[in-house]
Amino acid sequence: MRDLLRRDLKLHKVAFVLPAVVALLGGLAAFWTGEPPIVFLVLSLGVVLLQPHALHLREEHHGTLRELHVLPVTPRQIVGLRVVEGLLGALGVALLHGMLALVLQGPGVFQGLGQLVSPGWLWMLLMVLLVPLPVTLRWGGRGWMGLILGAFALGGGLTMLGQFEGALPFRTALFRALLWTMDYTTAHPWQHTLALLALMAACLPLSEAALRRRSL
Amino acid sequence: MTHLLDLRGLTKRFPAFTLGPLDFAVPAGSITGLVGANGAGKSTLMKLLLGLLPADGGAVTLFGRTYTGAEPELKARMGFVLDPPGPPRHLTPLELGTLVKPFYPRWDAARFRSLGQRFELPMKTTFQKLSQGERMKTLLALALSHDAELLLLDEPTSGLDPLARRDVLDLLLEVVQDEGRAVLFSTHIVSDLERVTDQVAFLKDGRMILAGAKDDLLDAWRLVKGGPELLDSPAAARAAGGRRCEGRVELLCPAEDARALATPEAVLSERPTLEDLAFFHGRPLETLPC
Repeated sequence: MRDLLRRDLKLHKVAFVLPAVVALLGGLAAFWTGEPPIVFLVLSLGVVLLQPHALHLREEHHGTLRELHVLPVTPRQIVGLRVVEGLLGALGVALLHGMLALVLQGPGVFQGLGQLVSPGWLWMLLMVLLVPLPVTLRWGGRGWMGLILGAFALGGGLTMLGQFEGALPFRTALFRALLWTMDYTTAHPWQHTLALLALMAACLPLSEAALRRRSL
Repeated sequence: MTHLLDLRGLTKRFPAFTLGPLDFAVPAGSITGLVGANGAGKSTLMKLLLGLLPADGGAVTLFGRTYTGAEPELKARMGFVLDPPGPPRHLTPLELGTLVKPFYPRWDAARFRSLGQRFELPMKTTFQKLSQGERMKTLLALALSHDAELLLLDEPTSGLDPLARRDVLDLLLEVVQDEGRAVLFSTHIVSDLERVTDQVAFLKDGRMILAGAKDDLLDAWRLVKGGPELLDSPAAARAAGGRRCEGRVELLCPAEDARALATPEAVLSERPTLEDLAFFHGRPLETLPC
């Protein structure tokens, strides 16, 4: 893993600059605007968690993805690399923001530890890094086009759903099940966290399988 | 005989093209040449062997094992040269060596340096500024510096001048001096095969039309040349290919048929070259130009 990380650092120095700048600006913006630091931390983390995808797409664009795959490493290690890159980036941003907040605004700006152990972070990790990871690894740039179009279609569909209220026969049962699950899990923090962890764990073998199906 | 590479029914399907099923083996201590026109499936086969494409059927056995559960170990025992885009272009050969070194337990830095000297590589010039020949030599130096037992080389001599090509071929011969190693390389340049290969496999439209020891293959066929009366013989119908040109007929026949055909005085029967085999095999009489 260390060698893979070193390889990425050597190959993609430039690609690490943008998220670092975003993180730094986010940290400073919290000071300039007077908004709670957590707001900018969330935004910066969002950008940093997209970084592993960006690195993979960059490898694809520069034609080095094939060179990565022929190295004596397993697809599992490549998936691990992307996850670790995301986690290290997130940790780096959190530390940077924490330090900036301490230096510029003084201690106590994060209102209690509750903010920092929120399941929201896990949701973010899941939705920004882990759920799209199989798509990135299997379809690369085309996959992201699909994801973006899919998100627009979903957004459009949800917006229009109100017009067809009652017209969809599955709506009641499906929505009730979804709402019940969301209600239940948010009301039960442990179950919520465990469910999130289970979802995160499920993304890893899925990513590995996706990578094995990739044609280079 | 130990086989370093063994294909059994290997198949890959694309919407407009199917490779295989391929059955083929590369024994230790041998150089095997893979010949075929553009689009015959040579690069696809190389990618399948390196795990860059998932196969749709059949099995690849490397060093007696499949990739499952042994991927890094098997890949560490293989060296490769693939068609472009190749390695990161902003790095120098020296940096490329440093980049891949940690992944290969048997990386030999001294050998990498000596290959660089032998190939007269500018080790501190970025890959994108190297000539086509220098790029190929860099890839070869990388492939040969980790003590690989099986070399998979896709068109390793393309873009090389005749001197460099000869040097590369000599190097391949040196590699297989060690009986435990083998080379599989694809090429368009059939004279390269004549020079160094022990085995040859001909790919056409995704199928392996001929494969075997080079001398056995050449002994098994005859190029029969004569007048149009050649075509009257029943043996002519069994020809694997041929052409008619200005009243003369050339037929690629199994050696036993050639004896039957070679009765009239005007007929010449000769051992084909690999180029003849590649050129004539599977080509109906009227499809080839004079």
